[in-house]
Formats: sequence, structure tokens, C-alpha cells
Amino acid sequence: MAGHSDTRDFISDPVEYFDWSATRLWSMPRAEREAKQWEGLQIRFAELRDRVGYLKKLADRDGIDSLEKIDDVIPLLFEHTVYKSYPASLLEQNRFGMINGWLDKLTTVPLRQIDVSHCDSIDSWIAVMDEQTELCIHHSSGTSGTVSLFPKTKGELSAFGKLYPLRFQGFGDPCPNDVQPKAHVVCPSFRSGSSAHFRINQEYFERIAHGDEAFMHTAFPGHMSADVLYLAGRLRAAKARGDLDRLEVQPTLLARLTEFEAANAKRAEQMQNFLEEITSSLAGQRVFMACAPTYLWPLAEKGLAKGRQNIFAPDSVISTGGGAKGMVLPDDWMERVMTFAGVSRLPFNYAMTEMNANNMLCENDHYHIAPWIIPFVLDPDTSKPLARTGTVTGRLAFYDLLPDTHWGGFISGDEVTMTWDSDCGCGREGPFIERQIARYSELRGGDDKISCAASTEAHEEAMDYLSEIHASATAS
Amino acid sequence: MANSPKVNAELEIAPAVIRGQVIETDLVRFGGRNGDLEFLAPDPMSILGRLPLGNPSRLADVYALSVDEILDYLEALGKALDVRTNVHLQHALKLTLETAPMSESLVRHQYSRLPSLFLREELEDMVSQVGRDYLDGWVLERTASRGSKRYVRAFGARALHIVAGNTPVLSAVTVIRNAVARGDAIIKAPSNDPFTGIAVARTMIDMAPDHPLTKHVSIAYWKGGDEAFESKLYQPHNIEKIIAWGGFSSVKHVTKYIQPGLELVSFDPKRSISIIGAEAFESDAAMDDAAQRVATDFGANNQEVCASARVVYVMSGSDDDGIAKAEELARRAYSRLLKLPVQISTAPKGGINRDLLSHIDAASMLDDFYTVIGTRQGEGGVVVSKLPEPVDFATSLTNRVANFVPVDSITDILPRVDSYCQTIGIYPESLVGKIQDQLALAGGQRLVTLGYAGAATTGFGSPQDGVEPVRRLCKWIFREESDPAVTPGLWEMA
Repeated sequence: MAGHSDTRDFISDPVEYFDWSATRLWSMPRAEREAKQWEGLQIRFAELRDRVGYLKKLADRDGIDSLEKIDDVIPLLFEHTVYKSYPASLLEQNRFGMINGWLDKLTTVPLRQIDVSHCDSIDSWIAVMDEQTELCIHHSSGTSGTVSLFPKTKGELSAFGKLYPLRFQGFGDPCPNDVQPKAHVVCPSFRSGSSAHFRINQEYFERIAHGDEAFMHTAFPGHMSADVLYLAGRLRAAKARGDLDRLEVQPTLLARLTEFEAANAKRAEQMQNFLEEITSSLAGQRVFMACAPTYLWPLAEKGLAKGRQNIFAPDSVISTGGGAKGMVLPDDWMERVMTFAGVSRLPFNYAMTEMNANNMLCENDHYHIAPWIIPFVLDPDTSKPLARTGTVTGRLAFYDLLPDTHWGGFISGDEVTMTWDSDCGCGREGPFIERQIARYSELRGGDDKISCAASTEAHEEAMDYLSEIHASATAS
Repeated sequence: MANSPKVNAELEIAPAVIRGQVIETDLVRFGGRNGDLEFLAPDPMSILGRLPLGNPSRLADVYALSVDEILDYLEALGKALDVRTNVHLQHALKLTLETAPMSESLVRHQYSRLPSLFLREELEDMVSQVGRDYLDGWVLERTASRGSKRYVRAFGARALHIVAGNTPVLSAVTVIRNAVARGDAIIKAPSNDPFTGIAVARTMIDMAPDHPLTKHVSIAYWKGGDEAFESKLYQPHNIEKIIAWGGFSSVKHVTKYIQPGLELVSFDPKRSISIIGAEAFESDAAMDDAAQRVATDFGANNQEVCASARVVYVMSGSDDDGIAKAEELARRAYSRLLKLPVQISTAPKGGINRDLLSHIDAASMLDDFYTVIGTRQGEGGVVVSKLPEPVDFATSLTNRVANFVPVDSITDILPRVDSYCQTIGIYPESLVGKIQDQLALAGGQRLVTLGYAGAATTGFGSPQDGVEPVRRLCKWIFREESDPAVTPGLWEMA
């Protein structure tokens, strides 16, 4: 069946546009992709230029009223700091009306009329926003004491969520009859919450568990509170600064934090128990599991040591992504996880909250960029674009065409090596990124320049260090 | 750790200077990250055995000198540190222009200041911090009612100095402090200024190769945190004190070597603020005056040093009228900033730091919360807060960007002052007496007349970060003299 030709269909619901075929999604010819990307960008610019307040101000300041070529959008890409640019005290003081006034400039969803005057916590504010607006705000974990607030809509989350069932397909496979097969969902986390990590559970629930709570298996039942996460970050920062007594915290919230931290001490063990339990109770079943390597590898290692393998049905999806966070993984850890689980693939994803796409690692260790994402590689210091040909290394930026209520242009903190126009060899079309991805914040830190003036890096490093000391002191 | 052993490329050499000897062998490559200057220096492991003094009794040679003889030496050294004639300094200056965070005219100005640190008057001030009598001999401090006498003398120690490199005068200050305290200094050169200290040490060798003071200064480069090297050097049998200026990656590792017999004197990285009283708005002339001074406090040294003002609290009131006043002051300060003399302040060397700029850009879009003045040309500027609190990115302020915060009174400021806060520039002078104790109790360490934060107007003999550095360099030794004829013996206790 021929695909839709309409660019708007392509950008607003790409999975439908590709008729739910992973093979088609990753086979879009270059000329067609680039034409659609350019048209799509024009559509989004025309729609959002004057309706996203922050973008309008930026474009007005720089006098950008039209885009003549793809690089013209670069001055309008948002830095990550934009989504946490509200004064942090507003969140501390529950001034959610002012936060909505700020967020209103980052989305076309009208927010100024929403009454949030009675909200006395982040959770209660997000509940009102969930109920009364199109938004399902995605917050960050706030480990540094500041939280970014990303205005994604339910519609955008839903269009994005359709990507997950596609993981049941291999590249090159014909499109199956049942594109959303029911499977047991294994979530090694909380059942719900409002960071990206938990928001996606609702998509798993609807699209993979088919709305059947018996098919949802979460390590910790219940809701991950944004207030508790945020307070934990603030307390860590205040302890490190040594001005804990300057922090004003509601006693009820402090009690919840204490409860959370007490539970946290047992969580690592509970998680391993949960995962081991799953390998028995769901043995032979079709499962869907998206899980960090730090959980997957120890699970497989222990299981294999006991001679267990091929645990789940072969049409299961075990997928992963992200770094090993200090854990040393053997070179063949992915193969061994597959042997243990009994699957022939281990989809590995590179993504971020600000991007509505899964960029999957291929067998040649390249992350392929989804076709509705227009990538840019920028000079890490000047943000000037690097070449769009050959292979270049620099800061990843992109325009995500999917969202229609917020601006999809974003500059990441990641150093990537992008190949624009060579054939990867795996059969997928489009530019791709080397597996090795670094964070500029880590690349730039730790050098030997000594200054009597406190830099923010030195300050944060010191705080991390002090909180580690604190953590190890309280753990022993 | 060094990148690779033995190289032949045409790179500059940062030799090690150990007790009067220049060492340029076993060179390995350092630096070169993120566009930094790459240079060669002796493999730290190859000099490890020679760096420590070994037996502390070898300090006896400096005790054969009087304080006057020490000051004579330093005075002569100061005259030799004239960049117009000193070839070591000329060479170091050329390289420091590449490594320093400051722009060329500022680095040149710092170099030209070097002799002024060695003027007799300045040296005497440094001596007076300890007390000349305590440096020259045993001072009778007390005769107790039971007759025993206490004598005290300040002795030098074997000390490791991890000096900051954001301004090139600091290695010279370390040399002076070490000589006055009669210590033995091992100076760890910073990667942002690996050459200036070496030039000073080489000048000492040219001037008096066998002089005890020349022989008690060593300087070398190694990468801070090089555990194989530092764990061997940082031992109580080698050194008694570590004087660490900032540089978290250096200091973090130092702490694990601190043990009985090895003391850490830490000059933590600091930030500074200014406080502008309501008097600045009493007349147009007062506002101009305050604007000129505050621009100097955040502009001087291109805001690269701990004493540079970053957040400026303006007691204009926090209502709309107050915010408007703070904005007007900020506009005037910005225009004064652009007119500061080039040896004091220039457009920042590399424009405004990228991460800071991303915060400023975001702030400039949010006029409910902030007004941004300047910064678009990479020249520096002011972010005015409209809430009575500093911007969340206050710790990132650099490259001549200040944050003006309109507040109602001193009580809004005090909770923001903590032990990270070094210098506080205050306007007008009449306000100082009313708030000085409160500021000190809250954590502030240096209170100055607004406009003078960037100059050590009374010299380097002052306290620094809450301590008196030369006193801390000394070991305080005392003896108690008791004559059984006057002071009853313990053995006579009934």
C-alpha cells in the first residue's frame, strides 16, 4: 500500500504515516526525506513563529520572518536552559500561577486562565494541569536542585508512544498483521509519575498491555512524587553548601521524603528480587521490557550462572539504552542478555525527553536518526553549523517535527560523530551517529586550571563530592 | 598523567626549577585539551626524588639570615623582575598571553606590577603580619605569676603551594611569603599559568644562584590529581603544609593525604558581591558615582578573580519603582564598563562563556523576570532581576556579566552572604559601619569601598579568606623556661 503523501501526516503522526512498518520508517529515501523535512519545517515555523511567545521574541529580535534554507533555523533552536529558565524560587514557593505565565510562553496551549491558586505542591499543580489542559508536563529529575519543565501534550505523547510497539518488528521484516501485539510490560520502576521516564508507562499500558492492568508488572507500585524528587535534590544541594537550616520545607513533605529515603535503601535489593521473580512468573510469555543495562546485565549474569536461558517467548522485546553508570560491562554483554532472555535482538535506543523519537542502534553500532528529526551538528562553542556532508564531530542539535504545540528546535549537551551521506551497510536510510557519545559537561570538566574564583563547575563538582561523602557516611 | 613519553615536537618547555637548578630533561607532553596550549615539562616521576627538601634541618641556612637580609634579597629580586629588561619574564609573558584567561592588556599590566610587590614598604607589611621580632628570634611573651617564662618564635615549614593561575602575580606573592616565613616552598604550577613562576625562579638563580632563599624555592608542573606522583610527594616526611588555592580537582585529591603531621591551608575558590545603599539614588551625581564604581568592581581583571563582584545588591526597593531605579543604575554601569582603562578591563578574551550565554539568552526572553543590558556583542553586561533574588545561574557569572538585584534592606541581603563570599564592595562609605559586623558574621571576608574590589589597596600583607597567610605558613614554636628557685618543681607538689 502506498504511503500518504501529505507532509502534515508525516510530521504529526509518523508511525501512522509509515503504516506501522518499522522497515518503511527506516527506508525513507533521502530525497523524499529531505523534501518532507524542509516542508515540515516550513509548516512548523509558520504555525509556531508567532504563537510560541518565547520563539516569537527570539525571532523578532533576530529579525527572522522566514526560512530560506535549513540552517536558517539554527539561531532559533532552544538551549536546554530554556526549559528551566523560570526563577527556581517560584517552585520553592508554590507560585504556580507565575510558573504557568512562564510556561505559557513555551507552548501554544493556553495556560493563563487555569486556576492553580490552590495548588500547594508540584504534584497537585501537575494534577490540575493534567486534568484541565492538553499538557502532560514532563519534568526532569532535578538532581542539581533545578527542574526543567517540558510542555509536551497528550497528543504528542500518544503519537510518540506508537513507536514502542514497532520494537516488536525487525528491520527488513514485512509488516505484521498485528502491529500492536499484546505483551506483558515489565517496568523496573514506579507505576506512574510525571517525568518522561514514568509518563511513557501510560503508553505502554494502552498500546502494549492493551489496557490490562494484569499485564503491567512494575517493581514499585504507586506514584513517584515530583515534590519528593525535587526536595531530595534541594536537600542534597543545601547539605553540600552547609546551609540546610536556611531551607524552608513543609513538615508534611519532609515526612514523605524520610519515608521515601527509608524505602530507597531497600530498593536495589527489591529491584533484583522483582526482576528475578519476573523471570519465573513470566517464563515462556511474550514480554516487553525497556530497562537500563545496569539492571539487565546483572540479571542475565546471575541467570546464566544457574544455567538458565531462553527465558521469555522469542517474540518478546527486551530493549535498553543509556550508559552503564560506572558498572563494567563485558564486551559481549548484549549477546549474553539475549541468550538469557531468549530473544534475537536487543534494541538499543538513544533519546532524550526533548525529542519525540527512538533512534535505534543498528548491527554496525550506529544510531540511526528518525526521519522526522532534522539533525544539526554545531561547533560546540560558537553553535555555528558544521558541514552537512561527510563525517563531523560536534554538538548535536535537532528540529523535531512531531510536536505541534511547542517549538521542536533544541540544542543538546552531547558530543556526537555524525555521518551524513555514507551508507551504513545495515540497510537503513539517513544520517547516523557513532555509538560513542559524550557529554560536553564531562569533557570540559576536571582540567587543571586553578583559579581563586569559584566557577559553577567547581562549585557543582564540590557539591557532588560532598554529597557523595554524605551519602557514604549515612550508608555505613 | 602525561599524554606520551619523549617527544621531539617544537613545543614550549616549562622546565622544573629545583633548589637553584633548572631541569629540562625527561620531557613529556602536557595540556592541549580543548584548544589549550600544549607544552613540555619534565616527567614528574623523574624529579620526584629531588623535589622534597628531605631533612627539615636543611632550613638552617635561611636562619643564618636576618629579616633585613631577606628583605634586601627580595627588594633586589623585585628590581630584577622588570619585564622591560628581564628575558625570562619576556618569554613567559609571551606564553602566558596564550594560557591566561585574561586579555593581553590585563596580562601585560599584571606583569608590569610585579616589582611593586617587592617594594620595601610592602615587604615590611608582610613581615608585620607575623611580627619582626618573632621572625628574627625568640620573643619573651609572658612571665607567669609562678615565675615561668614563655618564649615564642615563628619557624618556616616545608610547604607545598598549589597556586592559582588566573592572575600571574600569585606565584610571585608565594615566593615573597615563603621567604618571609623562612620556609621551603615547592610550588605546583597551574596549567593556566605554567610559565610565570618559573621565570621568577630563574631570575632568582641569575641573581644569586647559591643564596639560601634561591635554594628554598622549587617549581614544577604536574597534572593535579596525578595520584601515582602526589601520593608519594604528599607525605609528612616530605612536607608539613599544603597551601591550596582553589582548583577543586587539585584540592579534592589533597584531602586524602591530610594526616597528623601534614596540614592543609585552603584558600577556597570564592565569589564576591557589591552592596549599593539607597543613597545612590539621592542625586543624579550619586547614581553616576555608584555606577562608575560598581562597573569597576565587576569589570576589573575582567571578572576573572575571586574579588570580582558578580551579584550586586541594590537597595533601591523591590517594587516597580525600585526595579526601574536598579535598571537605570545598571544602564549607567554598563556604559561605564565599556569605558574602563584597558589595563583594568577589556572585552573578555573569548567573549562570554557559552553556557552563561545560554542562560542570559533565556533571561533576555523573559521580561517578567529579568532585564538584560548589553551582552549581545560578547562585551559583558548586566542582568537585572525583577524578583528580589539573584539569578539561578549566579554561580556562572563571569566575563564581565553582573546580576543587579533590587532589594528593600540589608535583611534581604544577609541570608545570601555565606562563606563562599569573599569581597563585599559597599556604597556609600557611611553604610559600612552599620553593616560590617553583620556581613562578617554571615561569612563575608573582605569589606571594601565600592570601586576598589579589584585592587589590593593595602597590599598582600592583609588577611586572605579569613586567615593570615604568612602566619599560617609558620610553625609556632615556644619554649618555657622555669627556674626551680622561682617556680616550684612538680616533684615538690605535696
